[in-house]
Amino acid sequence: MIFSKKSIIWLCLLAAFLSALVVSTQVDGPPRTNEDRVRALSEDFACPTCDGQSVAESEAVVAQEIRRDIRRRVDEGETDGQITDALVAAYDESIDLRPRSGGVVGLIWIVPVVVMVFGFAALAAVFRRWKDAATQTASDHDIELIESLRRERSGEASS
Amino acid sequence: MHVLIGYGAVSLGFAGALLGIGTTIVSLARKQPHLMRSVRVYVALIAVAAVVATVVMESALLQHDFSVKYVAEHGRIGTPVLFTIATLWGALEGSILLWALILVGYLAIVAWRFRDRSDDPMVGWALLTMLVVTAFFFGLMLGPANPFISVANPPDNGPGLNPLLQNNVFMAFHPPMLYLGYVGFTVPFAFAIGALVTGRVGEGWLVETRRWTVFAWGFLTFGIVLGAWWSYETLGWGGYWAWDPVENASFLPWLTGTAFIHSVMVQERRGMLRVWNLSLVCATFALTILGTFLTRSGVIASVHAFSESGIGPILLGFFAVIVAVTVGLIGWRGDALRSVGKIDSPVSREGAFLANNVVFAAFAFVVLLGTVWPLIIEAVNGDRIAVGNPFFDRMTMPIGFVLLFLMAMAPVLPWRKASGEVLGDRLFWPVVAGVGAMVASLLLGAAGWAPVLTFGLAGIAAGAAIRQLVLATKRQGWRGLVGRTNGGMIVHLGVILIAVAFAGSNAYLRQAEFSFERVGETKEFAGHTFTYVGDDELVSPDGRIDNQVLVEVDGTIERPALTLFPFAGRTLGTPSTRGSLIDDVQLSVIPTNEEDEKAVIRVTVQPLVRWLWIGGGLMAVGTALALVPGKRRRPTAPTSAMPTSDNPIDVDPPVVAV
Repeated sequence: MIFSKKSIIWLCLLAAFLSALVVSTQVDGPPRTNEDRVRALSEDFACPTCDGQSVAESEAVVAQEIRRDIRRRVDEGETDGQITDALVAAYDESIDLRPRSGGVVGLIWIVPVVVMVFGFAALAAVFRRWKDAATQTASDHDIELIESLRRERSGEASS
Repeated sequence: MHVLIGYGAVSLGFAGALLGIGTTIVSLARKQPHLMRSVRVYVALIAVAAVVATVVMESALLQHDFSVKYVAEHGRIGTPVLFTIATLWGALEGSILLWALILVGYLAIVAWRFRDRSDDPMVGWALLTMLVVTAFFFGLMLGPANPFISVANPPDNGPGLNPLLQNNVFMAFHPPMLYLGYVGFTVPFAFAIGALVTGRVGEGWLVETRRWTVFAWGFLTFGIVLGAWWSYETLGWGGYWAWDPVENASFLPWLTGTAFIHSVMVQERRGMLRVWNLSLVCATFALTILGTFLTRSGVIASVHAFSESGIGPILLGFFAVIVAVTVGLIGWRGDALRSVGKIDSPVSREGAFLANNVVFAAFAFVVLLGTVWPLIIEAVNGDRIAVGNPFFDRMTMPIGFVLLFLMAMAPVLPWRKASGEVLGDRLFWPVVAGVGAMVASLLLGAAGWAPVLTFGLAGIAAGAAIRQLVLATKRQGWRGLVGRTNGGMIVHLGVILIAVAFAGSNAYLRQAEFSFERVGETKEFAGHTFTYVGDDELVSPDGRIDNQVLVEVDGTIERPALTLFPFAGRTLGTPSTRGSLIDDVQLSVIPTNEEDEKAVIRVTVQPLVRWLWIGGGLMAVGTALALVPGKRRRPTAPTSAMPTSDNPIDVDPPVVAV
């Protein structure tokens, strides 16, 4: 027998885990109405007159207008991209809460990934160093220190 | 009168802090520990001053003494007493006063707690650090953030607190909790500085401050959860976290503080990560000051921010000093900070803690970057851009998954080294629980890989935490629920509930707007029925007018309203929330321009929201239990012996002898 009983059970668990994930991508959630799309889209835009709130959060007049505008465009069948373009054209780029992916602004998407990769690379390097540290030998300084302490000790004992 | 006594008290506190600083320096420089006795007298003086200043301000608020500028600008006759008291932390100057009061509280407790060790230079330096921070905040109140300014011609009444802050009782409790957390990190920071200056960078300072750190962390957690709850109940759009700069400012020290709470265990156990832990503690404290700067300087627009003021540059300067001092000290002590321990295998408890730290640090970096990016871009090329929910959601989701995965694995990993067999045995039931959670969620109608993966990992993590608790209680009875490791597992369970609630409520949120034309009209949405019953008007004693829309939800009448605050000239929505453990139904009234008879209601149906607050409560309970001393091992116990399957995981990490 190649597989032990234990590893068969583990393979079954793994299979169940993965198939549950696959199933989850296939089943349909609750129907996505136009309202749900409006809500999702309105979270992507800043309310121009309020301090840092999104259109979804704010009850300001402009926010309500934008929500109504998004609603109308969704009902007319516009795509998310078309709606974004229209809103940015009507207001300003600062309305779009998704930083664009090009130029200096786009660095915001790249820098965290670089930092993360760098962090884990550093962690791997540190692990290696610590492993090597296990075979570290005493330096000349260490030996000298111990010798001097020993001399002190024996001096005390003899006096 | 109030102005005179209040300003006098602030001046006295400032003078006391300066005298304390001077005496501590002399005592440390001349090695005269008996001088520290007089430092304790100055600390008592500062404490009296802070209490008097706070009492005077509250008295001015409650008596509506409009000759005090702060009261004239933020007080109002007719505001309910609770909110009048809470006005102290409703605006900039008062919030600095509350900060100073809490700081002095911590200072006094530290001075009293370490009264028998005044000859210890580390304690001396720690007190000195705390006194400097205290002097800084009293200095702020003497000048740029003076709460006690007199008004030449006092008005008859004031405008009152921002109505948004008066609409929910949570607002009265959320800031003090948060401040207890923020300010509490001053204590470990002060001891870290003490350790660096005296060169005693071993594990001693960690042991001294461990409970203080956990205490502060617990209040910060509780404060953040209360803030989310307030936001959810008040704003009425179905959200509880918006990655707003002010929310981020409270989240940043929480992230580094959480990383620290985990990585100290590696240092205590294995003597490693000295530089890293010192840096984390200092970063956490520095981030609380940076947060204070972001929320009080007007550089960042946020609904939660305080009004613009001149204290921004001063706070930024203080932040820069903290960073410079800590970086300088750590560089200076570089030699002594070399790690003495070693690591055997990445697949071990310490390996998981290290990965946890990298991920938490990256998390903090992402949040900080997203918060300040608009400022950076504006400085670089003058563009005005916005960074919001979509950025934070996309970047933090993978981080959340990695953290959840680590939370599932770490509690079953032994220290030093794990063998496949041990892991297989320990992980079996947790993984069964995780797969069970996934299948159950699919049967209940869950869809989409992200929430289902969350439920699966959450199931494993919960299994791992419960396994630890069961083993500990079997062995030690009720003591198996206290102590750092076991309390920590209860905190984990709270985090898991929050993760599940977060995934469920975000992924399955349903929202709709109904306009009801006539009474009796019924709508169906997301499995609930809504019937328009009528309107009502309610005038509260404090003058606010609730224009309620009565809607029957599944047989119960709900009263969402538009609330008019005549004294502030503002109308705000007062949503109604009806919840169960399964889902929340939130109704808010949408203001209509037309004078017609229809009522427009926004309905938000969100599953599992209630578990966020339950999870937050569980985190608080777990933190409290973690503070109760668990079973101590004798220092001679062979705690670092190679664990085997019949000598399972360590119940309580040892206290390293200093």
